Parts: sequence; structure tokens; C-alpha cells
Amino acid sequence: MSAVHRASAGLKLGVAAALIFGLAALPAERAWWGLCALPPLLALALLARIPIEALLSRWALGAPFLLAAASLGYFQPHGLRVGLALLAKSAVCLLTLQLLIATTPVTELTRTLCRLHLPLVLCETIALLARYSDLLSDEARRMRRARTGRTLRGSRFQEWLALGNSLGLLFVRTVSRAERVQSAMRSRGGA
Amino acid sequence: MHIPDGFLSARVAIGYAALSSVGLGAACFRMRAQHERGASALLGVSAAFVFAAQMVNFPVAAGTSGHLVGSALAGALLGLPGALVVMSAVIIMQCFVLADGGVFALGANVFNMGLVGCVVGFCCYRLLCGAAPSPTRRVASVAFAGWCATIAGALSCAGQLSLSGAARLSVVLPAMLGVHALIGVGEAVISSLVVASVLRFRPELLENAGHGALGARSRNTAVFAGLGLSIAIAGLLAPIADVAPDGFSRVTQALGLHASASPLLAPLSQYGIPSLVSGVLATVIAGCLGTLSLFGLCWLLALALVPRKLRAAESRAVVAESSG
Amino acid sequence: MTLALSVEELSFEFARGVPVLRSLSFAVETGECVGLIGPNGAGKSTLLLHLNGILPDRSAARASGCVRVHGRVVNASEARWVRRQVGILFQDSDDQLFCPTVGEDVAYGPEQLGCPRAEIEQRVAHALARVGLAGFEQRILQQLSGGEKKRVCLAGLLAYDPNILVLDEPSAALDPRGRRELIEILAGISVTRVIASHDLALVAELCTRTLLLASGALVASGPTKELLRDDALMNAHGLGRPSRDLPAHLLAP
Repeated sequence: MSAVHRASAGLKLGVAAALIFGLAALPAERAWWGLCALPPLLALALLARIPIEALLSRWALGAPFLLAAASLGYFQPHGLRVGLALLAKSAVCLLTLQLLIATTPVTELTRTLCRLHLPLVLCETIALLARYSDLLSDEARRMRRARTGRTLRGSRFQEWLALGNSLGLLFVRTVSRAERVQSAMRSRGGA
Repeated sequence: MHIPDGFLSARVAIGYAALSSVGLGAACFRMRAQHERGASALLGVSAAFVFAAQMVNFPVAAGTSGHLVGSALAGALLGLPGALVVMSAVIIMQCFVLADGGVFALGANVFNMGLVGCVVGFCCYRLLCGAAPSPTRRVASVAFAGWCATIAGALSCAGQLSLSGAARLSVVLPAMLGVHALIGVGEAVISSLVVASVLRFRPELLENAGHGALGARSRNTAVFAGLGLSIAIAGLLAPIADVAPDGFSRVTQALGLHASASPLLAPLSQYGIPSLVSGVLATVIAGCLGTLSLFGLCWLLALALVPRKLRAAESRAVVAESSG
Repeated sequence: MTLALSVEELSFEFARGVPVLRSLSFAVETGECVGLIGPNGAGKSTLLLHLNGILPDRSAARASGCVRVHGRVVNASEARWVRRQVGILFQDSDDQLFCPTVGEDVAYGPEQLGCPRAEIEQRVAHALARVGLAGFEQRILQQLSGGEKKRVCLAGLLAYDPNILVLDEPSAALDPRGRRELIEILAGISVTRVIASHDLALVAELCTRTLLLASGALVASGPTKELLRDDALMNAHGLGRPSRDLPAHLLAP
């Protein structure tokens, strides 16, 4: 566990937010200054012992969106400069965010957010989202396994079609299961 | 539709963040007031479902990303405050778990997919449902509402990008609208699939969505309301068409209506009506026809999804209503 | 007599690194009814999931050895064929049911076989009648009790008639009448059956031969009655004393 991982989530969130804010506030002409943030970010990644290839490959997944969006900026006066500036800023911001995510577990991040006086209802919903996502994927896996266990014919396409048909049932089944989880929790004194 | 960091100017991001905070704050307040213990399973699963659905993501040639939104579905299942809270939770998690959508752009993203999406989706849904909707009508309404919500969100997103100076409106608007008109179809299909299943297996879940009677409204009112809404949307777009005629002509050309609209306009222009007005008229007519035909498609989808047993019950209820 | 099932040196570990199956080897002949007993956590369910190709899957950390069905090795390319041959009844009914109504779920198997509509309906009605759920075609699965769901699962298997039936705790959740009907159904069919169960009376009544699994390894195998009468063996693996607890006529030689 590196020093970066151990640092408090609040500190990391604050630094990341400040950096992103600073980059966003940069006017298009000075966007290149944003690239100065790259060395410290990469140094932090090294300190956190995150393999550079992993970080860069994840960044590369998000990059096409940035490229597509930046290409929009091309169609205006000084288009090329605007487009490149957008690309530079957004690329560094994305790297910052991904570094934050890589070094901070989700639960800590959400707890920090909630301590920042986000409304209680919202925090509870975020917690429920995390909890029931597991339930949803588990139910989806079960239904898929049950179906493939008796599927003897049909193409990949038909598989996807069948999946579409099951979407509604998946939702209903997960709600029923979630209700059971809720009553189990309540019967042991939880909310 | 998640805008990453670096595209919005500081002013735009902060401004929309303020707007979103107000809307979200009001929704949270409302939720706390009407919070029922039993509702949180539906709330949580809807959030998880929308989160998963939003991960179906594809880069778009001219726009941030195209994916399903889920605001109309959330509205139909949870009512407006619940939907807003769910969408905000989803967008926040998408940012901090998947790096989808920027931190600084959170306010803007919540505005597009949460505020605009939920308000447009929910209002469309409720307007089209009427007082005591049959299952078929509910499913058709949520399908159409889903499409409208996607379009509205895309509109808002395009506006933000243009206000930030990231791109010109005439470029980003047709791009976003065009792509999301297609994605909206997927949104309509998924929303209707889920609502159809809920109606079939757990109809009591939908009754909880604050479906108080809207007063005695006939079916015709809903149709007129829908028509009025589409005209309003078309009217909203018309001034933009004025500002960015090249972008808009691209859209109407794509719809294949530009050429057909000209014979209609020819007699009008003979009377000396300025071309701007006839351009607006053409857009409005195109908008109305487009939205009405889409609503028709949604109705067909609902007929396909709602099982015959439920439809038979609905027609018996209508007969009872008309004879009683 | 040909071998219906043959398991050779089967080993399996889930991602967390605890071996669940250790070099298992056994064979089942066509038409035989074999019991699989053992304490909780012995690996019975995991073994059964290997018999129709569900495992090994992506969650496996290590998997070796092979399973053969009618001589053909079970792997991804043979998946469809294997599923036609081997029908599995899951321990948890929710792992098996994926359609909204009873009729649709039971009809799924025959539909996959390509039967005409009329035959499908006939098969469904017949299968449901056999498990005591005649007329349940339109019922919604989520509203049924645990025992009713289990019977629907069984009906789903009977409707498409696989050559080999693999059953994981079939009598769990069934009421006494349901359990009796299950035993009668299973006794009445002649296909190869592999039954994993804690219900030792059922195993004694139906299975000619039994395998005892403990900690992922095959500890004993032999004629059911002999195995169950061996107090020391049964007690050592947490299975109590069937010679004392079961009716005498079940274990009489």
C-alpha cells in the first residue's frame, strides 16, 4: 500500500478537484500549461506503484470520446487550435480522475462525498446503488446460466434477442430479491 | 451524453452546477417528506439498473458519447423527485467509478440527464397517461417519454457545449440531435420493456409512483397535449434554426422533408411572406409529423409488449366505464 | 453396457484458491441410478455442475481432468450436444427458472427440440400432471412457493426427456406427498440418474450405487446399502447413523 493509497480520500479528492478546476479555468490560448501537470501526475502514479501500462490503457479507453468531442471544436474560427486545446485539457483531466479512482476505493470516496454535506437521501441512494448492483449482476448471471443450460439451438443474435426479452423480468426479479434483502436487514435491526 | 472535464468553461460549469443543486436539493427535500420505508428496494434497484444500462456506451463521431439515459423510466417508476435523486446518484457514481463524465462537469451532466431528462420524461409520461391509464397506454407513454427525454437532454448538452465555446451550435446541435434521435429509440424500447414487465408481475409498484388522478380527463386531451408539446418543442427550435440555418437545413434535408416542403411554401411565398416564417412553418410541420408518427410507433410497441390478458381486462374496463 | 458418464481425474479450484474437487474419478453406466452423498461443503454441487458443462467457467482458477458423456469430452464446442443429453436440476430453483410463467418455462425444452406446437402443449401438460401441478400453465413463477417452483423445475426436465438426469437435492423443499411423488417418478424412469442428496432415505430407496464425497475427494464408493450400513464411515463424515435412523427395510440386504 503506497503513500498515495494511504492518503485520505478527502485530500485526494480535493487535490484532484482543484487541478481539474484549474485546468477548466485555463483559457484556450494557455491550455498548453495544462500539460505541465503531466509529470507530477505520472510521478504520483509511479509512487502509487500503479503499472503505467494499466493506467495508460484505461486512459486510452476513454480517449476516443475526448477525440470525438474535441473534433467538434474544429468547425469554428481557429478551429484547430481550439480543438487541440480542448484535447489537451480534457486528456489531463481524465488522467487525473482515473488516478484518483485507481488510488481510492469507491466506498471511501462516497463516504467523503457524503461528509461534504450531500443530502442524506442522495447518499443513501448511492449506497443502495452499490449494494443492489451486485444483486442485479448476480440475478442476470443466474438467468443467463439457466437459459443457456437449456438452449440447444439458435445463433448469437437470438441469444441477444432473448436477453432483451428477459430485461423486464430481470428487473422485477431483482426488485423482489432486494425486498427480501431489506426485510432481512430490518429484522436484524438495520434500516 | 456525459460531458468530460475540460470542455465546459468555468462559468458554464458553475452556473449549471448551481441550477442542478437547486433542483436536486428540492427533490431531496421532497423525498425526505414523502419517504416511505418500503420504497427503497425499488429505488435502489432502479438506480442499479439505470447505472448498468448507461454503461452501454458508444463513441459518437460528433458529440461526447451516445448511450441510454433512463430518466423517463425512473420517472415512471419513482415519480419526479425519486427519479431526479436516482439519476443524480447514477451520474455521480459513473464519474467516480468509471471516470465517465467529468468531476467539474457533474453539475452540467446532472442538469442534462437529471433535471431536463426527468422533467421532460416525467411530464410527457404523465400527460400522455391521463387519469387512469391502461397498461398499453402506460407502456406507450413511457416509450415516447423516453425518446423525448433523450432528445431534450441532448439539446441541453449541445447548448452547454456551445455556450462554453467548445463548438458552434450549428455543428453540435444537429450532430447531437441526430444521434440521440436514434439512441432515443433504444431508450424507448428498454423503458417499455421494463414497464411492461412491472405492470405484468408487480403492478402495485407503479401505483406508488404518486399517480394521483389528474382530474377527469378524456383520452382526447392527452392527444392534444401531446400535439401541443411537440409544437412547443418545434417552436423552441425554430429561433435556433434562425440563428443556425445551415445546421437546421441539414436536419430537415436528412428528414427528407425539405424538398417536399417547398411546393407547400411556394404559394405562400407568392403572397410575400418572408422566407423566415415559412422556414419556421416547415420545421414545425416536420416536427409535428415526426413526433406524431413516433408516438404511433410507440403505441405499436406497447401493443406488442402488453400481454393479451391485460389488454382484455383493459377493454372490459372501458366497456364498463362507457356503459356505467 | 456403455458408460453414460465418465469422470477422469477431475480437479477444480475457484478463484480464491481453495481446492473444491481433487482428482475425482468415477464412472456411471447407462441406466444406472447413482447416489452422491457427503457433508456440506464436500463439493457435490460443484461436481454436478461439471457434468453438463456449466463448469469450468471463467471463475475457475484451476481446472483439470475431464468429463465424458457417452464417450464424448465435455467442452465448450460440444456444449449444445451435452445439454441435450444431460439435464440438471439445480439445488436453488431460481437458478433454473428464467421465464415468466410456468407454461413458458416448461415448454422451453421441447421448443428447443423443435417439436410442433401441439406436441409442446401436450408435453407440458403431461409433465405438469406428473409432478402434481396440472393446470398451472398460466401461473406466474415468482408467485409460487419454494416447493411448487421445485416441481416446475422437474417438470421442465421431464418435458424434454434428457438421457441423463442429474439432480441436486431434489427432495429439499418438497412436502411429504411431493417427496413421495418425486421418488415414484424417479423410480419409474429408466434413464441414467445421478442424485446428490442429504435425504439418505431417498438415496437408499432409489440408488443402487452410491459415492461418498468429502472435502472434494472420493472417499468411498459401493452398493448403497452396504455404504449406509457402515456406521463408522457415515459418522466420520458427518452423516449420522443411517443404520439406526432409517427404516430397516430400506437397508435390508
